[in-house]
Amino acid sequence: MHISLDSALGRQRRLNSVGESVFQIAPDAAAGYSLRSLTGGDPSVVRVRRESDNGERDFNASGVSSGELVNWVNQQITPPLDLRELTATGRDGPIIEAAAAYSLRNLSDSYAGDVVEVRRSSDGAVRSFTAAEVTDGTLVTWVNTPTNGVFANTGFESFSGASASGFTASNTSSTGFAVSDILNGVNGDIVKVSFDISVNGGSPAISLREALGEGGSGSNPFIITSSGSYTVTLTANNNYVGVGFTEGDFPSEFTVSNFKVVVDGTVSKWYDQSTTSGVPNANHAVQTDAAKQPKIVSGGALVTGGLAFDGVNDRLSFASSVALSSNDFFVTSVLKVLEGDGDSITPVGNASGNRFLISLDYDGNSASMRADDGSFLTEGFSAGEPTGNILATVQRVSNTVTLFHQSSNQTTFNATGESFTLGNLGQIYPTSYSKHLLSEIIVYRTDQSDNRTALEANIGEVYGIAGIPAYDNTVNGFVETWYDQSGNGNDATQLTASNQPKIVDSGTLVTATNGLPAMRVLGNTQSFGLSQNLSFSDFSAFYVVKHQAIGSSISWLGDSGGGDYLRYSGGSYQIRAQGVQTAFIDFDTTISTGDDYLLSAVRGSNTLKFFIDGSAQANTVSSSGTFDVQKLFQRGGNTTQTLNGFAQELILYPSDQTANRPAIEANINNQYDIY
Amino acid sequence: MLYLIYDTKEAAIDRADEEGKYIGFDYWIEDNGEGTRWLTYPNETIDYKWALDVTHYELDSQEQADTVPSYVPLPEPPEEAI
Repeated sequence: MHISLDSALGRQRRLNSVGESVFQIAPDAAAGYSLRSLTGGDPSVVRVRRESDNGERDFNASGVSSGELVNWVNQQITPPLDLRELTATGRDGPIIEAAAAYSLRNLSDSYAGDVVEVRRSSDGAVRSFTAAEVTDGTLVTWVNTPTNGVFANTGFESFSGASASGFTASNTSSTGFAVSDILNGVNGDIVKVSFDISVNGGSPAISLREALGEGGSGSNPFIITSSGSYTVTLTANNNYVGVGFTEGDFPSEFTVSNFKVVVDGTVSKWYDQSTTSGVPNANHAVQTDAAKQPKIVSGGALVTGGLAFDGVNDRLSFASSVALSSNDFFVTSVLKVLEGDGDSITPVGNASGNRFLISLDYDGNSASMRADDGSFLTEGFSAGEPTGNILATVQRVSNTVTLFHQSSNQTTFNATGESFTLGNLGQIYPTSYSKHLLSEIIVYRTDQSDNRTALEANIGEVYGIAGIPAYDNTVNGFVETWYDQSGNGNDATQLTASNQPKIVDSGTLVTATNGLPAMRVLGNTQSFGLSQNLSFSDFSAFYVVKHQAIGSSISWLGDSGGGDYLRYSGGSYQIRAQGVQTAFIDFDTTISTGDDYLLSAVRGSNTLKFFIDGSAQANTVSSSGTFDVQKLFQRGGNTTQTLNGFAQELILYPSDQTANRPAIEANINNQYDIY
Repeated sequence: MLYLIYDTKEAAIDRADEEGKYIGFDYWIEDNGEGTRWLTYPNETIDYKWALDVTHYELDSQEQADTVPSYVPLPEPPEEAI
């Protein structure tokens, strides 16, 4: 099956019948504004402000037509712990309070506390971090601090290029040591290092060192006989202060590069962000045994996808078990399968005994629960194992427990008479653990079925989980910038929110009669300004517009002071350049409301010609003098002769495009199907 | 509608800037001078002062007392005769 780029981008007929874009037909425009591509590529076309949080984002042409823009405008931005109960007037009821809530992001806009406490493997130091510090690199930097020292030579006959990441050394007889200072350690400590080595002679060995000079070794040596990249784990059998290389056999010559101590960061505490009546529940999930802590930094890099539970012995235990009893509950979590995992995923179990809330067996196509009394509840489950984030929600209403997977109802369990308790993350039962990544888990001891889609919409958007339905498709989006695609940087902007045209109206993309994306311009002060004045002698202008109302005059182009303008009414047009104003020139036909129009104006050889839907209007007018343009849809500060309608495209050339006009108009009409 | 009347355009824009910062428009939070800056922009009045639409502004008690429900805009210059 052939899929064209155009169809892949949505309804983006950027080219004419011979495959040319507008700017390929007629390059060297002064400015070109559209909601489609005028270049044949996929340039940014608009910067949009959404009304929900006044956030702004650029969109390219494909993003407008594909639904990306609308989806972004409609995003559910309220984080889970700020969500309010639904009332007859909207989501203005009380805050919905969770029983426990863990994440690496802030689950409430008002939460400013730490989200995680981390232990670094290099020295066992522990520190807490905010959500911002997790994402801005502070956490990773701290885990990787301090770094090892510059390699120092004792005994190598030749030693050069020394730094903390490597050196070149050679010996023909005596023993040499190249040692880097690291955090001091004791017998039993484990130090992992990685490096590249080029061996030209000898069999170099690396070990922990008792001293930074000639002292004895602090671990068994790891001997290297061939060049390559190595990651070596050294277990101390003595106290140590450094890590170093010796030459091995004589003669010896080798170069070490990219040396670093590999450090892990593990989670000793995952902070509970939930509150009751505004007071923190503080039911943090903790693990004091470093060997059983899930990783958040692995080999010096932040783990992507949440906390990594190894399936061997990693677990975090709630400070106090969360008794769901036999009441309604709602537990939602963001998980990810770890590479190579073929087992079921069980994000949350009980603190004692073989009890767990939910287990997802993607290979066995089943989902199961185990209640407090040991009863197994098992149902079929055929969601398929996602490669990305998994949104798994377990919801109990009365005696029915429903599993939602990626927000889709997957299966239900009959939980009559059963009760459940939560106590561990990552552990299923005393000898069984779950291997997975966990980004977020929120527990409610109440029925949240009315709020599920709102909660899941926010989570789905934050974690980029495809297919999660948007909750509230009623948000407005406004155009802050209509980008110039000509390459001249003459972007059209509107810095005042109340003057910005709408592009998403109550959650729906604004379109003109032709069904293609448009901006709704309300007249009055709604317009765009250019950062610089465009001064034209000859010029050509092309405009795709639909009118909601037609008053005595509608400004198409104007300068900032109102001195120059090109305007029209339903039956005539007029230009004013450098104070010289023509009379209103009658059209052959009448422009009416409700229809899409392609208006063209071409001034060359001191004559202005006007075209409606490709048809030349018989009456032309003599016009000379520089024509200045710095506003679209408005002349100066005039608020009555402005566009009340829909704009889709506006292209300006600093030249007489009489020769190209038919081809340009044909391209535009091919896109918008106007006439 | 509610308006505050300022003697100068600069004073009116200062108040519009303050509100834009309070709302958290992109111009202020991105610190790059791009994006939406104001909620409303002042218009010149018939007596050459500047009216700022503050209907949706967070106003202090003094500002609330100073608001006016309407103003007379500076008239458009008359159309030129051809």
